[in-house]
Amino acid sequence: MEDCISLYGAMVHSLARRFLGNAEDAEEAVQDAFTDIWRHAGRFDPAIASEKTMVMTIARRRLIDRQRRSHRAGKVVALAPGDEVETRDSGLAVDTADEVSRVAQMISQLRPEHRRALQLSVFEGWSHSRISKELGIPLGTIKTHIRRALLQVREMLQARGSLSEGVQA
Amino acid sequence: MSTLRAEREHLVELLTCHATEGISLEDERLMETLLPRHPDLDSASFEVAAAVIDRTFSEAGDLEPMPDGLEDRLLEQAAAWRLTHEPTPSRRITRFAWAGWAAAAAATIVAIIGWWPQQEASTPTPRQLLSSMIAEASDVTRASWKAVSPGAYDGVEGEVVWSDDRQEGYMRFRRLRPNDAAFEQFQLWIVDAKRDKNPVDGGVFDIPPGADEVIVPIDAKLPVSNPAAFVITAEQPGGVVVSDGPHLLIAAP
Repeated sequence: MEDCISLYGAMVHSLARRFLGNAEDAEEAVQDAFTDIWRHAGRFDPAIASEKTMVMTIARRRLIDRQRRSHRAGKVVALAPGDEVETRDSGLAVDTADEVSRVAQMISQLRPEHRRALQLSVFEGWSHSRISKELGIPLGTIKTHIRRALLQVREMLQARGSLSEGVQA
Repeated sequence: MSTLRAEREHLVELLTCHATEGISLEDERLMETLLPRHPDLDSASFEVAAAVIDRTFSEAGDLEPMPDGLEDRLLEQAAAWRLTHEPTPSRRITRFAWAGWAAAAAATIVAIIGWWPQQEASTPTPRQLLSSMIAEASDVTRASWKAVSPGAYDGVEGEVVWSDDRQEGYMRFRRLRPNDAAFEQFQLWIVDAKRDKNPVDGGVFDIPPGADEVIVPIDAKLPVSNPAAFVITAEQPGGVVVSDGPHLLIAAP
């Protein structure tokens, strides 16, 4: 458990700050997220995803639920024209390089506006309607971009043998 | 566009929103209703995909360090967690204590279920244990699952197999929708006519996405004699001591 805090504390805290904005709310959310993470530690299956991804999945669930309950308006982030999200090369930790580097490659191939919508939704935690308003792109188009990206990553993980196995009887 | 295709597209939309911005309770109920009709879809895989995308963006930049004191609070929280969630058999089991004990046992069950496939052939699988019990026990009773109300659980197949003598039993499920364990877990309740009105907690379990058939060992917290019914509910992660329902599936020998 101490290792979990050491390894993933900053990641979960950064996620909470992005989603919630308020420092106090974020700290409380981090504590709640780790309770969920410890509760489900026993069901971690590396065939599904890396430990880091599972921690992120559990933390995101908690934060999205919390965000929804609080009807957060979201912080305003001005995007400069041509903002790009750079993705790292293969110099990642061995146990995470595969899934993240493949997704990074996929994201780098998206059109800039698609990539921006995905970043604002998944990384920044913005609602789809907020992204649509800020970027001036129809809501249906935003939803399509995000849906296609999730489906593509999901298929990528399934093809790798993740997600389709889970717990075997 | 066919109705089924339109329904599937709507479900994918709900799953995407659920994994990114969240959805209303009404939409969550709709999503749960639609999922059994599309067994290749599940909420967990969409959430994992979103998490990988999130990590990809996250690892492109610097993480915001934790503020002073937060790590210490988390370490204190971890210590407190250990204290309340590790089983202490020497304690007298009171109703209050059941909650922590049940959660610890449930975590053990889930850990075993998740751990089992990774082991070598010398460790029996739930399927093997079930087969052994059926072959060896002289008092096996079996009952098929039925949905309590028409709706999302109509297509669920499977059965409960139980032995009073061995105090051992297993549940088989096909087409039970996957659950998102960060949000809910399924819990078994065993109705024992010889006890008081409260059913016996049979343990919590998860249904993973994409599984064809799942076999779950029953972990009855108290001895059970000639059970009248086995009931499944969906509860908060870790389960509850007393369920408010609703009852999703029932199997009555």
